[in-house]
Amino acid sequence: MAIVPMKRLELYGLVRNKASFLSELQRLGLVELIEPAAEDRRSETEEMIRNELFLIEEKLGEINRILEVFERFAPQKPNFVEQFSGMKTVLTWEEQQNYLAKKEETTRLADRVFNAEKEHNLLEQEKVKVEREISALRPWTNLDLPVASWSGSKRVAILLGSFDQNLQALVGELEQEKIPYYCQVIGEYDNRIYMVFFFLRESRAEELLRAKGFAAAWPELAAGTVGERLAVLGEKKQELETNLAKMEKTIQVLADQRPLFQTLYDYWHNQKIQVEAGRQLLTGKAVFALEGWVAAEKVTRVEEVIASLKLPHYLRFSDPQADEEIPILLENKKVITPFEKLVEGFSYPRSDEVDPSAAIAPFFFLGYGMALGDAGYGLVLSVICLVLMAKVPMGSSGRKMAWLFFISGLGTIFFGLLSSSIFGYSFYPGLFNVVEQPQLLLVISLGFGLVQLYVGTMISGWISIKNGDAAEAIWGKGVWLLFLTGLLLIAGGSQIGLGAYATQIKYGTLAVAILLVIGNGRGQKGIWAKIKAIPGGLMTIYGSIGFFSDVLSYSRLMALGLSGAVMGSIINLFVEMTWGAPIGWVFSICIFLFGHALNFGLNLLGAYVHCSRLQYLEFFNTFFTGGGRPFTPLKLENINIFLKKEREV
Amino acid sequence: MVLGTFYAFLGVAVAVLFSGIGSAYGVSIAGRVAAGVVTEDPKKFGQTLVLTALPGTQGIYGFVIGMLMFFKFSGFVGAIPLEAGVRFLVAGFPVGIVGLFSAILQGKVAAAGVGIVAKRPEESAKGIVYAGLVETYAILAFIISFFLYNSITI
Repeated sequence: MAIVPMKRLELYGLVRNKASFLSELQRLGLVELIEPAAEDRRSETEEMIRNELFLIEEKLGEINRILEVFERFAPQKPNFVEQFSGMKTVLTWEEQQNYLAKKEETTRLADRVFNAEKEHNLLEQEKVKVEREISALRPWTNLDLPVASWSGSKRVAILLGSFDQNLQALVGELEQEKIPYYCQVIGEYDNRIYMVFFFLRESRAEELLRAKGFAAAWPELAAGTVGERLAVLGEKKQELETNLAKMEKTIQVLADQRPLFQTLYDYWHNQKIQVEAGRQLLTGKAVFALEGWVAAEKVTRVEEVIASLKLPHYLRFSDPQADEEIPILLENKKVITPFEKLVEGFSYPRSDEVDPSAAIAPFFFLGYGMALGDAGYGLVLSVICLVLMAKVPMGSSGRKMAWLFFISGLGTIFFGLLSSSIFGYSFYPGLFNVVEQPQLLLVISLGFGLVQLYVGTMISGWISIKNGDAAEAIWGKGVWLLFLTGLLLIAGGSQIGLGAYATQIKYGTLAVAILLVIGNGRGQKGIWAKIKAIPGGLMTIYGSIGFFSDVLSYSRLMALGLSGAVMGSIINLFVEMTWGAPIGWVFSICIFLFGHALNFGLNLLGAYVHCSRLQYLEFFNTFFTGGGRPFTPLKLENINIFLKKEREV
Repeated sequence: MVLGTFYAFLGVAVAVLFSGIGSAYGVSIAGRVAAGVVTEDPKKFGQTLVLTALPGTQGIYGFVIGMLMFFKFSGFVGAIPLEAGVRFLVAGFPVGIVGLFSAILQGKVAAAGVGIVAKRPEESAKGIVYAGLVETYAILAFIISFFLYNSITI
């Protein structure tokens, strides 16, 4: 249970060395800068910072565009795990330095990428144009009349067009009026009949046809026949396609340089952070001042590193003042560290609170075990976590999560072995069987909850003592627990052989309840104020309902464990049913693997959600509010790359 | 069919049917929103998948109760007495009805949680916890259904 004590840091140096100090602090990643009050800031520094940021943003924008081009032509394919963890390019420190050394060459590379993309776009536009022409001409493919003769002769007119109904409906009227015509159907396309009409110029044929809904059309064609043009266009399209493929290949080859640009992106991103950090500095004509927070135990390390710069400076550390909001950094023993992740998921403790990580560790471990409840699943979970940690590049946060699930997996193995459940099978008589004795499981779940909430109340009392309020610990928490115990004994005393003392217990509890009411009046001055506190005291007694409903909430552990176990045994039943059939073993194995994978996945999720909830709502309710501000040091952040081994700072 | 047997079968149907409908509905609500997020950022598939799967548990609870009931009366030879049949039916109600509504409502909360994944992926665990809160009541119903089922003897 530890919130790391912090020290205030003040650093003074020369303005011209500002960047060196900032970059060193960023590399170190141990100092959180404090924003100066707005009136202390100087506008000309802000102006300079803005200009610098503008240049960096421009570079970032360019690199981003290049990465987007790469992503378009040579997309990165995340594998199953990466879909959850995100994709990063893994580099060693040397590789990163090599890429950074190539910073100057990149302009040339960038130009090549952009030119290739531009050319690709032009080709693509051309292709669209050709395709559009092709699709416009396609219905006329079989029209072997060259364009020159479309205007007809002196007496005969030619009409091209399409119609969407039966041909007879169109020409019926022409025939009725005995107008001479000749019609040639060219083809059917998209539910329209394309055709050419020949008729005498003076006849009313065109008028009649149009009235019937005949859509006249003149395909755009410069010379020759439609067929000739289509052949030319087809060739052109093919040529464009080969060119496009060539261009794509070029870009794909260029995309091999992706890590270079990713490294540079992260470099400029960090430069940006550094320049922005300049806002947190007070800058004068020659001297700048910087204030920040640093963990007390890292003070010497910061001193050494700053001194090793061999630049003129003045560095001072002081204890935080009482009214300051100190940023929170959690530090625990290695086994407890993963559980910090759960606390972070809720809220950081305030600086006057305790870090609850250690308190939730054993309960989450056991609770998760009960909820998942199968040694086989637990083993799979732990092994998956180990493999992930070995194979996937993970930051400290991901690593914590993986450890959390690894430990939870161990808890599951523990509980699964106790209740003798391995992939839904029971190979030996365990302490009890979940499916056969669900009542016992319910009692265990509720008992577990009772213990956790008692512990929470005790921690709350302990915090009161630590804060010098022993009276609150005794009256508020001690008597409260005594009262709750009394209530429990009234309800269940006879079950554990205390039936003979029922009356004593009843009166004892009543006495404690009175104490509780009186206790509420402590600290009030004068008899009248004390009396006024009595209704509040009665409310505390009423609070016991809330307490026991919190305990009942732990029944979810039983429900999750039971539904998982029943589901597992149903899957096994199906497995046995199919086993006997010819080649049934194939199906058996499939059912076993698929069924248990599904059950495992859903229960894994459920156990995590509900165990977290029990910590957040029920357990934290007793002693923890949170609301602290996490410690966010100035540090190097990598978005696209992952350094295999961070360089020793 | 004897009325007792009919009621017993109906109990299984109620448990599986309603909770299954609820889960399908709930998952679809969350799934639609999740698909929208993934079109913008395919890397969020994993995180949204977790939220989308959450309303699916009600269906599992209903199925578990239904299966348990089925095993209990499938071993019984002959017609199921009316008394036992009605008990089966009643035992199916809590997990079926609460499952129906809680899964749909949980789906809505999960869909909102997908919004957290989209805008503040670092806080997505909180969205999962919110969706988990709704499930509490399905769990309570499951427990009651289970004990009702457990009390049936034929």
